[in-house]
Amino acid sequence: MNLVFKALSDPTRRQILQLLRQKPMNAGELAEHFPIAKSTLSAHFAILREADLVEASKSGTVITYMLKASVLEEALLAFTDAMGFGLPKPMKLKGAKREAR
Amino acid sequence: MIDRKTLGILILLVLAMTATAIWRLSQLPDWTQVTFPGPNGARTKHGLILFFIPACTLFMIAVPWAKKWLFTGPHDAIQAHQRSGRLVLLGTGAILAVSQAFMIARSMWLGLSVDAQMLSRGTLIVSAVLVIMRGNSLPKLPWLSARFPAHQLDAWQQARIRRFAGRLSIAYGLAMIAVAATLPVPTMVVAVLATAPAYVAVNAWYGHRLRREPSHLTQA
Repeated sequence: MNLVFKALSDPTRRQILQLLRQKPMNAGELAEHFPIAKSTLSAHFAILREADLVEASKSGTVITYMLKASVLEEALLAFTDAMGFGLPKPMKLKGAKREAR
Repeated sequence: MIDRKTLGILILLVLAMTATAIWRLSQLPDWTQVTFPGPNGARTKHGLILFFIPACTLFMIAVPWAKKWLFTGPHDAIQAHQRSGRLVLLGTGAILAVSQAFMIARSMWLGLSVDAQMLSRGTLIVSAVLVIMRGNSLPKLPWLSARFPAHQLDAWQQARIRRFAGRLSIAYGLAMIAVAATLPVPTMVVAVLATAPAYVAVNAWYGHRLRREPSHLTQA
């Protein structure tokens, strides 16, 4: 369960899971949605696979990812998304004022 | 899906339950009439009622057995399905065995101090927990190939139907708990028995709907 919490704590990984809820996608299709390096994305896929939240099937050189989350894990995904876990904290008022100046 | 060990245990349970029913009927002067203690005195039922629970257990074995025949796949995938179903099958088998023992005891006018209504409610709640656990794990199960082309779904379609069935099972399990906690026992039994076919029908309808949709896997 720790692996699941670790996987769901990151907003990028949650976004990957949300995309995979709609349909299975290959690594290239998923990469189009994120402005990050492919190596970073691969690390996210590895964490999701380790937590058993996605299933990867290789066909030739293309790896297709498919959602493999239990009902409880999907509920946790919705909850962590709604609560915004792992998102950068909003700036404090004092700092915001300084920025405005 | 059912593995050999679970199948063996459940068949032994059915044999034991059937043997106790035959033994009890052999003790009665008229095997067609069994009397049970009720809230307003004795209630007479047909003797065949003692075979109802063993028949339910046999039906419970037949469903995963039929699934084993209808679907095929790699050894690992089949083992994953068998492991996933084992707890529910053995748990339900144990619940049915306890229910049969209770029914036999009541037919002998024993165990009168046990509150039958509370036992029924408790049994339903434990069954509901098993349904919820099974529903939660359903989306994790691997893809299997159907023997008949009409039942064939690709990996994504099967994953979707399992997710749907999982959510439905959890909703059904929670509804069972609510029913067990609130409704009178006769209404509770009717409610559960009436909604079980609806649960199967909704799953079948969803599977039928999915088969008509284009496969995402071919597009991915």
